[in-house]
Amino acid sequence: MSLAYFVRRIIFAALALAALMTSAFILVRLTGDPVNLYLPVDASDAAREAMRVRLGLDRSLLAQFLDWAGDMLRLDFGMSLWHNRPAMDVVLEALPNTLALGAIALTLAFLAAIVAGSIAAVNAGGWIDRGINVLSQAAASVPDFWLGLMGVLLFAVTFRLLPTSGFGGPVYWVLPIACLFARPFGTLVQIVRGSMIEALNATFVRTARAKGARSKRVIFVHALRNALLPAVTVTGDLAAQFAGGGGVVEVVFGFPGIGKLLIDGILKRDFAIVQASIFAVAVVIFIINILVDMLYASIDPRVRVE
Amino acid sequence: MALLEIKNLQVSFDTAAGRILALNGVSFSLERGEVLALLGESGSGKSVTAAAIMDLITDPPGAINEGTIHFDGTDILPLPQNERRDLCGSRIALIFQDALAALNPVYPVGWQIAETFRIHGRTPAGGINQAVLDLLTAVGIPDPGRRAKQYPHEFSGGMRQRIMIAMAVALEPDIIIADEPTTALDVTIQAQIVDLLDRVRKRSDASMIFITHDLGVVAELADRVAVMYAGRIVETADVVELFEDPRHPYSNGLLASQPRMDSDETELLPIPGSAPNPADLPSGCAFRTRCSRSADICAKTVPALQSMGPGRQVACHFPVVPA
Repeated sequence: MSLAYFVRRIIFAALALAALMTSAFILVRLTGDPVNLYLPVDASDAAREAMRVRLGLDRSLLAQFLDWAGDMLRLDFGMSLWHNRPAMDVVLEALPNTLALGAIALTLAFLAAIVAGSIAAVNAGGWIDRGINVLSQAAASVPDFWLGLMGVLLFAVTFRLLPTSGFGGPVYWVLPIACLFARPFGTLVQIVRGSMIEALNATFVRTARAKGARSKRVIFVHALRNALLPAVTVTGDLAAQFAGGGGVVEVVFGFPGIGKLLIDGILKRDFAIVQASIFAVAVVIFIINILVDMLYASIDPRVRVE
Repeated sequence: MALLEIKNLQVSFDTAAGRILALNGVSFSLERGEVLALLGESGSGKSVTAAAIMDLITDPPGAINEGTIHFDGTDILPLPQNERRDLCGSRIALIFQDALAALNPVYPVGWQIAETFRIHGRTPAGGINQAVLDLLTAVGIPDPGRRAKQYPHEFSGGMRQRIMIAMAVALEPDIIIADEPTTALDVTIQAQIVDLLDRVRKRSDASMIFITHDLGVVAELADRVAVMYAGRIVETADVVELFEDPRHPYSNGLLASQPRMDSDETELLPIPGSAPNPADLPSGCAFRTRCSRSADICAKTVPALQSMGPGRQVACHFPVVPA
């Protein structure tokens, strides 16, 4: 992958980012007027007007947009209304939590899915395969809010092993990770199983056997590396989704990640927080996509770009 | 004693259309240093025979129901799987038809050739790299040091087949099985690959089973020919005898349907009809529905493979009589 390739990718990403931020600018302003939310119901019109002037909401939308665009170009995301701090500072506190949560859940799901999917593929049609199939279908279909609530009920309320919600030591991570693990695991098992069955039937696997390779080598050296490609693609997509925060899961567990911050920001019409969150997530997704491309190229020489 | 002796081999596959007999009592032998051509149409069972020798039949759906394969005096069919694998690649090697599909797309070709050495552990690790470069040179790959690090998709079809050949002859096997190794290639490249196979085979004095439907290649390469039809051997003969004097009506038909340089005959005679559906073979002799010589007995009894002179066997109730 050459420098020109990266430059081209970055230009496209910057254009996409500009379009995304513009829509974010418009959409947050459609959620309503923050002044109505922050001032008491019986506040005087003069007080309301004063706050609008202070926030710059009294000017025309075009004037606001130009002002905002100028700030964006200087990477100035403004002050959070609710936190009364620079919005990007608040976002950068939440983002690492989300990234760590997503990365751990996804890595575990990926590794577990490779093992389970390979076992299913090698035993295709047998009862082990059927068992893994039922398990993975269930994992892929269970809604995460339900899984979260059941987890809290069982492990926090009944057995009192884990905290119901909050943030702190490793115990606070167990249930959120378990909830975020389920769907990617289920999806990836199905994908690994399919691509592994295809790889095991490929002629190059027959070649390996004809060379004298025993089963383990055939499965793990020859078939698996070819079977990984579709799983890597899907994991990249899932990673991009997770970068936006484990939405419901973060809210259920009161986990201070970007998903919760974004949802709170929308509810509180904290425009600066919403815009800064969207920007940060978009940048992370861009980086994830580059990483997936690089990973893909390192696994499959045929996609290496000149 | 023959190096390889196959007796009454029967292989079936369970399909949606029911159980089909891919091999229905195949018997032939291969002597040391001999080149045997396995000749027949697609679906006649040539590749299944190779797969049975190499333990590549997936069970299920495939199954070897009957028969023996004696290699170097031992029946290899009852051997444990790991002992079968140890024979493959080291003593019996297989070259596939489509080298692009047969090479693993995600590993450099040099690595894939080296793997043959590593699996069998007979070559000291320090010598493997040099051995790979020597093999690449021997099969005519220019600049082997650079090419060894490249991936299969960076080679032409002919070059890929050369790499397959290098892989197959790496450990100087006793038997090389070449399963239509030139079918996927351009005609000009085909001749080069046939020459190369002949050269590397002679270098280690290996025997070869050359699977093909190309009579021209048979004439050029083979010592002896076994003609297959619908999962059976219908005729075995010395290559010259077969070309001059085919006895089975199917062999006769095959030769009559090909243009020949040494004949004044201008008309080609195609064999009527097409190869039978293996799920629904005619009773008795499978060729009878396309055979001008068939009579009542052909529908009732499968003709046995019978000796007709030295090195010659024919399975026909009414073999062609030499003119």
